[in-house]
Amino acid sequence: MEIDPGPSEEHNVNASTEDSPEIIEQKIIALAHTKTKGISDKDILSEMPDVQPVQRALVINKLLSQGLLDLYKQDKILLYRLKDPNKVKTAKGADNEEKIVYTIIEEAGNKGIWIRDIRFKSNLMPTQLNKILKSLETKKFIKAVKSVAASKKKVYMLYNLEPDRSVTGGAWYQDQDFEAEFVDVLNQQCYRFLEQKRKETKDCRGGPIAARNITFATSREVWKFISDLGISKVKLSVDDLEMILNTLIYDGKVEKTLSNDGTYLYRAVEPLLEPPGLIKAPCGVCPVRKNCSDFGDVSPINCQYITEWLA
Amino acid sequence: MAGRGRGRGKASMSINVEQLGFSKGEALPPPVLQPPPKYPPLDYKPISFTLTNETNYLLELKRDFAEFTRESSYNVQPIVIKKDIERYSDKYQDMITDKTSYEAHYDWTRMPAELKPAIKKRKVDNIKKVVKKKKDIDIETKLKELETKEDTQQSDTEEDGKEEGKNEEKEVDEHVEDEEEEADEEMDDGTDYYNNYFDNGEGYDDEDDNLDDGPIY
Amino acid sequence: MSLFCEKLCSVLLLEHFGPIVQSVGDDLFKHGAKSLGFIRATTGLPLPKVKEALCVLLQYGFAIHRQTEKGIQYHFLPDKVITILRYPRYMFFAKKFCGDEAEMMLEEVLKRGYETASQIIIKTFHRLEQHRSEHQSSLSMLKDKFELLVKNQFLTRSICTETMDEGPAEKIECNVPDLNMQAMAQIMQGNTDDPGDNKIYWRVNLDRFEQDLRDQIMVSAITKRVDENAGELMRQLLFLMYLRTASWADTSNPIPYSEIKEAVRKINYPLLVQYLDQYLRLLEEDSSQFLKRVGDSGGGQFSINTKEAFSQLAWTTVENIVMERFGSKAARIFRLVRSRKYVEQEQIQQLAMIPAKEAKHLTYTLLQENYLQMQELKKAGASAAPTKTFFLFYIDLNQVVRMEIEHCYHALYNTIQRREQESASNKRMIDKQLRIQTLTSNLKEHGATEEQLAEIVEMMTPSEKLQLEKVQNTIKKLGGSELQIDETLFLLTMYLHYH
Repeated sequence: MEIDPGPSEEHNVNASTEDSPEIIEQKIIALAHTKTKGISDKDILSEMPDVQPVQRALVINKLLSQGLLDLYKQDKILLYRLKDPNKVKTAKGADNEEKIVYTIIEEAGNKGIWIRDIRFKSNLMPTQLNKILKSLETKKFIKAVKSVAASKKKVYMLYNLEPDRSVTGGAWYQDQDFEAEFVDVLNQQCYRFLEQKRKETKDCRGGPIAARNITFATSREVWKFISDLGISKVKLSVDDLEMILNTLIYDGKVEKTLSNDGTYLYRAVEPLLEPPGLIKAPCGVCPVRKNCSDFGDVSPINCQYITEWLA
Repeated sequence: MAGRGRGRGKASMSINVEQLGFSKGEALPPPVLQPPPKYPPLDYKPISFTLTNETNYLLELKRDFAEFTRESSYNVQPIVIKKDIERYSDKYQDMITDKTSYEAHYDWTRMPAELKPAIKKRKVDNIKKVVKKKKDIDIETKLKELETKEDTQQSDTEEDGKEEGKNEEKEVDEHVEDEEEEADEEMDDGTDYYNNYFDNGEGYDDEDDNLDDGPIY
Repeated sequence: MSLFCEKLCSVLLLEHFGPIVQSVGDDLFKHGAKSLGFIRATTGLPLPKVKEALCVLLQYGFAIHRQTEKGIQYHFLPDKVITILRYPRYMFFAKKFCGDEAEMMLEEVLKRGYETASQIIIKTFHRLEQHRSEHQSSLSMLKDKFELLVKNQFLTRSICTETMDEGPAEKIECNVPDLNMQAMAQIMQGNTDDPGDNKIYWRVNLDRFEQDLRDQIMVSAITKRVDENAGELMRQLLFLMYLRTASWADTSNPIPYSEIKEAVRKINYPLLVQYLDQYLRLLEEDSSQFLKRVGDSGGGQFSINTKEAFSQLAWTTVENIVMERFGSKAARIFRLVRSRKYVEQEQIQQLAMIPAKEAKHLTYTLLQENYLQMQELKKAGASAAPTKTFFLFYIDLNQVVRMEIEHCYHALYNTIQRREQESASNKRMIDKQLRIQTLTSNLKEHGATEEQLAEIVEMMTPSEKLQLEKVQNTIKKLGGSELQIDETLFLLTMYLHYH
């Protein structure tokens, strides 16, 4: 089906004010996105008055031939409507470069692929690649997903895929935002569980080794405790819990030992020392110690921190 | 804390703001328009502690020791010239006045002999030099001469060894006799010298020498 | 040398021995070994005063003198000056170990640098008479106490040559001379007599007390980590260590199980006797690694690893400091870097589970404050890619410990300065109170009536009393803080001793 732009306007072509056909193409697709019921020639004309009818006709014919648009008649008006992208299996009619890029992204699966890696694999120029990616994106063949690994890095994957945990951050992320409070709560609860076990040793009569063994817990036990608490909206895995338990190790509150059957055992431990005396003194935590001298406003004699501390 | 960390980090390390955790277009902290407070509010306060009985006892021991040394002859006192005016510190000074020379406090078989109160010859030389010219270089050379002299003297005593300790003691006793006389003399002559060289923070400008009383330790 | 070590020594000398000894100490610190003439020239002090000050420094062991080609050179010993801060704890330790009289004797020696046995005993006797007239202590009892101190090596002979050159070759002599007790009784009556130990001097064995403080730290760490029984086991192990190992060795020679069992049986810790094997296994398996099993013969051979113990203790101390200065998240990052040795920023935020921005901020703060170090690592990526630079964070514990030692010196210096200032600005009132006290005790001796005594007490107005109490508390708190800071200083110094 061909669209006739009408003979009278044929010679009004003015190359100087024209957008490139690709841009017009994108604009029309974007417009079609906004009106799912379809757009008429009038709509296009009012949105893009600068576009010459002959050009408009060329672009629309191209989109129709690529199978991106459907044409149908409603109330004697011709409407163009965007085809469901999922139905367009592979980018039928897309040029070769697009096909190559599409395949590369498809191979990357739900872990996605960085633009730089696409460039290396496809050997395309950056500007050209950008154009193709944008085109594929607007056609909803692919999508860009922000990776939590590095906030400025985007990875591309097929439009209909669910991003991998390594990209979304799993349970700890919501829309690329790290859920610090959630992690803190879990950290505290895990510690509470292990600390409780440690306190039980007070009643242990079986000797010090038996008492110590009571304090051990596997990650699965901790996981079960947390699951039973029902404080998590998302379903946590044992691996998720092990991540939390590791933060407790870095907090110096918990130790991990390898048991005989190869699983890790966790237990709460007492630190070797009371807080050191140095940090019980104002000078121990002083933020302006580097400015402190015998003379001047920041001096041991004038020190406001010491004055406050003595008060 | 926040302003400080970021501000400095940027200046000294010149890293991309994005590496500091600012995403593109995110507002950077506003420029610092005034100096930071001298004592910024503390993010973390010192851990509080209570004085246990043990600590209190240790503090008593600590104070006793400090009081003892402060009031002992080991607290070397500047030479103070007796004044016409009564000062509150006089009482304090009188309390610790010890008319004997420090020489009596030490066992000179263990101390380098050169630390004994001066022998006559050196003292006279020194004073003359100072009073006349105050040329330090001369004193130093002179002192070095004297030191070498004394060193030989001391190594002699050392060679005598312990068995001959008695001889040594005799020697020492002789010195003592000599020096006791000299001590007074030295102080008499030396008062100007002390005024010039040592500022004890009080009464240093008091030029009214009263030399009869000698040194106060 | 360190700036604040110098300043700390300086204020300590000032506090105890006045400005002249301070100036001479400062001068020696700055210039290292020096001759009398040069000290006089640089300090500008009158020669007799320089000499006197040097006598004080030598007497207390804060300086030593060496005969060289250039004459006698005086060396300053800053560590010995800083040890003044620890004297109270040494005295207290002697009290706990050997009793009140022993404590007093130790105090007498500390106050005089070194002293003869007869003088120590006589002075202690006089003090006991003054303080506790109801308590009868005899000369022979004091002599026994003195011998106990010597036997435990709290006191050691002070030999003339050791002031010339204090080397490790110095052997500890512990033969107490035969004292003429009758002569001593005569001296106490005010007569002159020869007690028989003329010029045989004793000094405090500081090395021994350092070992004790060191051991106390290890025992209390194990007590805190495991329990009382384990702590006591550690103490017994340390005793056994001394029997076979040089006191400052990194690790002890193997201690056989049979001896441990024997030692534990002698003390009253039934649970420890019952579960000795288990406790040994606990210590051996604990991550603190104070104890190692080095052999299996005869029920096991055990070795104390003091070096490793102080490494663990120093880590714990530094981690605690980071925690209190920068918060628990910063401490988490610090421990993470410790356990990973070298780690990238991205890994830090992932493993610590701290939001990227906060993690970066804390990491860079720790870097800027020198708790973390950063290493740049350039690594060629894929052929076409530009070289990628990794920034790896790591910890140099020795450097952090040195920095914290300096931090302790600074904190001590400041605290002492402030304490001196607080007492100086309230000197009038403190003096007044002192006068009232003296007056009261004098009048009491002369049998004053209750009314008269009450009158004197009234000389202090209520507001003055209130103010005085405030000042005294202030001074106490600052003094207490000094003792606390010194504990940290001591622990970190021990770490450096072994590493």
